[in-house]
Amino acid sequence: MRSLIAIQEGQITLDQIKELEAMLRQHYAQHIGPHKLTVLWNVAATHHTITDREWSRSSNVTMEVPDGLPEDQRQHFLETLDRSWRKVTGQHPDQTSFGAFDQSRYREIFKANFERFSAYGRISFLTKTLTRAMLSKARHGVMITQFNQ
Amino acid sequence: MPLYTIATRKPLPEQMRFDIAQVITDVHCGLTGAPTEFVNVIFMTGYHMRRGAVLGLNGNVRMGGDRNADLYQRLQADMHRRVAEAAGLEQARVFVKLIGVEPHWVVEGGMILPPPGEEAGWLERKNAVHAEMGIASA
Repeated sequence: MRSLIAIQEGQITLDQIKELEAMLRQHYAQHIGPHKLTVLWNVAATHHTITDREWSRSSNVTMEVPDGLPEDQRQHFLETLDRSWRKVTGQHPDQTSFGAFDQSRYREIFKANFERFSAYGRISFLTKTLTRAMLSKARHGVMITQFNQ
Repeated sequence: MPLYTIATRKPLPEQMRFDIAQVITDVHCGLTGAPTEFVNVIFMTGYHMRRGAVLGLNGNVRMGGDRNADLYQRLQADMHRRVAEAAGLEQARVFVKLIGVEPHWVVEGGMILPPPGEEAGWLERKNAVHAEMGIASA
């Protein structure tokens, strides 16, 4: 299972990222199941994200969950995660977004987001992302990469 | 949600990024009636586009509710035209794709998102919940 997290440059410290990832893994194991979860943090450079017409301070978390997960279980997981996240970051509820998508739908959405790239572009993107993520994992213990390559 | 991402090979100037985001917000909210606070735009650079394209725009938008195929077609066409204008590009150099997303699988503002068309009631409930919790407007 995968989780992709988009945050703003300079908004969340490395220690907070580690704390948030540990919290996310704990909630995922408790509410969803003992699946292996790959978490990738994606940092947007300053003034590269806009929410509600202004430069953004928002965070966006998406996750794969097993197909057919009961809606009440999914909702409880997302709401619990939202509250726990904001305790760490101090963000306003309007500055956070959490999505838990059936694995099959997540794959479709992920694939559709790649259609704009050339074949070389897809390979280049995945290679750069993987390389940066592995270097970050070795250095910091968490996988962090950037939207702006 | 919606989450629009714009990918280019080279970075766009800051003012152009800001202006394109305003256009996306105008088109999306003008056609769907969604509140502007829902609209997120992310700019990504360093990406090789498919043949002929300079700018790739993907929109992950809520599906269902009061939206139909005709509205998505108009949203796609208007977004294509207006973003190309704002970026100073011919439409043929801009790739646009809208991707439908289930709103009840996403929490924003601390609450599950509403189906399209039910935003007004949702915003009222959200503001009331935030007020009860002592949370001021963002």
